[in-house]
Amino acid sequence: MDKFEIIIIGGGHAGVEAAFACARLNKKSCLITNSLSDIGKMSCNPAIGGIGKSHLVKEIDAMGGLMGIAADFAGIHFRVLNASKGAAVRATRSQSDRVLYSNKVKDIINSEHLLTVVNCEVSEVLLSNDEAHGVKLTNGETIHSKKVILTAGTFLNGKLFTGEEEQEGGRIGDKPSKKLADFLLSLDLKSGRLKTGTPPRIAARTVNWAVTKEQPSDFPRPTMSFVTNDRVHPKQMSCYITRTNTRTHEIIMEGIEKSPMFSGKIEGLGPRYCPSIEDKIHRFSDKDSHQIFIEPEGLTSKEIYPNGISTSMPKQIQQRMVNSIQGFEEAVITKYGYAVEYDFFDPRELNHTLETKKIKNLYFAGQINGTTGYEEAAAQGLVAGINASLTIDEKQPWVPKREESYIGVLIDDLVTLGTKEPYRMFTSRAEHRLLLREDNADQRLSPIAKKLGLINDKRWMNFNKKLEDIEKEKERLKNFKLSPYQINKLHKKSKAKRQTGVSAFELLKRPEITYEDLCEILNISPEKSEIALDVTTNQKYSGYIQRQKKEIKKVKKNENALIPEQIDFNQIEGLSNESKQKLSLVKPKTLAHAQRIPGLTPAAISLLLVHIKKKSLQKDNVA
Amino acid sequence: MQNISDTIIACSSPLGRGAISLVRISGPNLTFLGQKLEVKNLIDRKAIVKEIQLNKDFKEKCVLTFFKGPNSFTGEDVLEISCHGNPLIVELIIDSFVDLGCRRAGPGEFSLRGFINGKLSYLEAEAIDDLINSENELQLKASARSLSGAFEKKIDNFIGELLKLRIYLESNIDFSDEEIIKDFKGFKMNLNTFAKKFNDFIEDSNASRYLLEGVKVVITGPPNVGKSTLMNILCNKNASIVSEISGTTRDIIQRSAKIGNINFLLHDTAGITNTSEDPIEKEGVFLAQELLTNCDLVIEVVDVFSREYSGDYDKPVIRLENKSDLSNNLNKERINASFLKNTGIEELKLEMLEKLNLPRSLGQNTFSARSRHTKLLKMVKEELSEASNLDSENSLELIAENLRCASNLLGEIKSPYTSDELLGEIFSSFCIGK
Repeated sequence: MDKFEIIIIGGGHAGVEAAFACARLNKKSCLITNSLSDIGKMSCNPAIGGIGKSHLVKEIDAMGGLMGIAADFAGIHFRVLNASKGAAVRATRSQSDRVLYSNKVKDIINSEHLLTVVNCEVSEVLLSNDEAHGVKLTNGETIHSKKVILTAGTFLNGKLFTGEEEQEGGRIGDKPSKKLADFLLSLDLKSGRLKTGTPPRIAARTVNWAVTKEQPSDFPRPTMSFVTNDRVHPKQMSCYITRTNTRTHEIIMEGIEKSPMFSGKIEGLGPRYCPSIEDKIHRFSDKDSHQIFIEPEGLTSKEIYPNGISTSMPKQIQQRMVNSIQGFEEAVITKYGYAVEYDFFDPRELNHTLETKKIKNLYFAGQINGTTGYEEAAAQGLVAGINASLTIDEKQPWVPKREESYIGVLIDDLVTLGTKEPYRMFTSRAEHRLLLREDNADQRLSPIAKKLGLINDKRWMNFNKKLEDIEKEKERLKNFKLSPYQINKLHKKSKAKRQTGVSAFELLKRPEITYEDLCEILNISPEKSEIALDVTTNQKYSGYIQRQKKEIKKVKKNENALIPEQIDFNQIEGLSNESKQKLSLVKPKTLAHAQRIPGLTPAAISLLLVHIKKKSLQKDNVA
Repeated sequence: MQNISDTIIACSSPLGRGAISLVRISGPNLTFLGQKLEVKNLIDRKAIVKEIQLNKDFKEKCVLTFFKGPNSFTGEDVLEISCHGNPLIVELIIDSFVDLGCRRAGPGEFSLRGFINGKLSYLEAEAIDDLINSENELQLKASARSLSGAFEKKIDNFIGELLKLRIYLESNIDFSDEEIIKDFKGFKMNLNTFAKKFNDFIEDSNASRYLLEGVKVVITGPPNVGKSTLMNILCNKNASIVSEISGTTRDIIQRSAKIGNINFLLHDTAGITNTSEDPIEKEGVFLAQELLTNCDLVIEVVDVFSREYSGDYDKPVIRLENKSDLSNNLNKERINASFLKNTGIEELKLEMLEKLNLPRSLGQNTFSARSRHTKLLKMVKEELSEASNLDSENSLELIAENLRCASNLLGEIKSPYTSDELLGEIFSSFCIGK
């Protein structure tokens, strides 16, 4: 077969984003998947975005990725979460038509002429001297490459559980990648087990919609990508809400010992924040009802996805439980819920580029690193794809920073903290949350994307136009001084304190004054909503933003304090064995990075400092 | 940078003559010293009497007390040598141990080792420094309480309570779609209660800082009203040149005066005349203004001839009128005094203590808060008051940001973040031997 520069194993959300990034950086690459039809498949609920996650999608989009575009082309329901709260924590969530989504992803992937898609199964990664240089397929063939990106998702030693039934697989109807898993286990990388689950799917025609609560798509309809608009959205559908009740909970409690989660069959830890219904009822026994979002699976799908009752109970119990719920009395289950338990590798054995520390040229991205969610997977795929490409060109890698993007937070958290449960993004994970908004993802990342060559000139021009418009709007508002009459009006409207001699721009800082109020009172036409939002938010946040920038500067000082690469943490005098182990595993490159390692005391950090200073003194003396 | 694994030695008692001096040795393994001293076994926590040959014709009878690491102050093996309190003997002992392979310790090295080996928290190390430098009983008590970990515990409690408040906010932000308790009013009440509790604590800490570092007082007012005289009276010293020529005081003069149990650091400023063209005097005015922004208390002195003088200060201020003996009508807005006749001074002293708003329990519950701490505590207070003023559910993310910063700042009290701070300041400000 041909020689490729980069091989990507897996066609899930991490795999396609990695492959697309490689293609955009002009790398001849090969995506190998077990199943061509499953490229870009949404194996859990058909939703993209949500709080913290939509931030990732917008950032991937700003870096020229495909997820946001596909979500817009496939989105049949859009909603802004936290709409009443400040801009930093507002988040877009979309429901996708599964088929449309996967087709759009395939379209994008197939239009890249440097990218070859191969339908095969990989059995091992070719190694020599701890360097990867290609893969071996189960049919015995080998394909060579300079880099290998592994995005095997939940397919490594995947086990599916429904009640007491147990079968091997990464997703219902798919075989697990056992050979590859065995090979990877032989590499002596630290691994663990995690679990995740899905709810039963229900035939849409059997739902009694009349007793559920409708939740229509938002208007104006938001988009996931900076380069699309709502005209690319297909027809919109509503979501519906129903609830569990005491009867449901009784049915579950009766059969709880049959759940593999409780019988001890599943060892892996599930996500605390996305628990199965049996877990929720067990843990929050004082609550007699839980909310269920009934999500459409697609325009043509005959199934619905009842979000909130993920379960691995025996089929018969699932049926009774579903039928006990209002609106589901006559519901027919089309696929039973199940839990998946799978291998993941300790992400602390990765560099910030997602290259493994042990094996050069081998990158890990996606669920294999202990994350959950399409968005988290895609973000890692992007980072791995970009860095694999950059290093081939002998360029500096792209290490996204915590203060620059949620992608940076994600990567840094993974490689520094590792994870015990499936890692999901939340806004509270980002200490610079106020700077990392959905709406300014393009401002934060476009210059980087442009420099790396990930976005085209047209997009760059449009982006610069937006920046100009923002500046113009700021100037316009700065030049408006309110008349006493206008101040009075503003006071009546928003109970704002009367203040003279202040510009409209200054007034925007006050929490009670909105952009719309100002435009109305000044009798001026409002700018486009994205421009208005940016100007307003930056004013409202200005004091906080200044302080965050100060904090970043302070951290930067320690971020610039480099830990020598050849350091042997075991040689540090006085350091406890536990601290030595932690440092040796994470191998922090900067003092700031070391400080983020959980459980390292200030005393341990001081010892590290003393050691480094001493070593550098010795070096100076020799020199 | 110091070596941290060799054996260090220093005299731990004050230099000078006394009944006993204490020489302390710390190192990872002191068995080698035992051999050289011909003591068969150094036994943990056992004192032995031993004659040490210091030079050819001189032996000193010492008491050796051994502490086996990690159960010692530094976490290493520690040997304490008590000898007769003569600097010459101490030097001879240290010399002879240096010959045996010990190194003279630098400032703060014993504490540094204690910190590094997890025997002392950063706050405790600071408290040791305070304890040793205590000048009065209150300081002593306060630093002892800090050393016992009470201050740290208090900070930990605040961090814990903040965490609870933050959890409410963060879950409302990150799980707004789920059914979680959305009781903003209740949250605001909890936040305000917390802020109040914290402010009380700050007042206590301020009081502690007064105990430890003294109260900075600026004496200000128009020229030639007797500011320098007042300073001399309060200090019982002839500190500034007192004359009848207006503008005699050009530089800032600092003296300390003890009133009650508190040290007042008095700063006598140049009489502020903004009109002066004299560069030296201008400089004095500039310094005075800087002092005014950093002080704890202002005493504004006028005399009966300059009653209309009145400055604006954003600090607690005591207004006093001198030369009241020269006028028949009293100024009700000021303390009436005559420095010449020594009247009104006691009233002023009482007022100075009063203005500090010291808690009644001063010295009972206070901690040895340093200005490093009070500075951070003040920043926390600002974050909390900003959060309390955000009165809208729409600003959850901003309140959350205030509380996150507050929590970080409290964390910094326990242990500074930046590398320079962490290693630099406190340990090098220590004396040798601590």
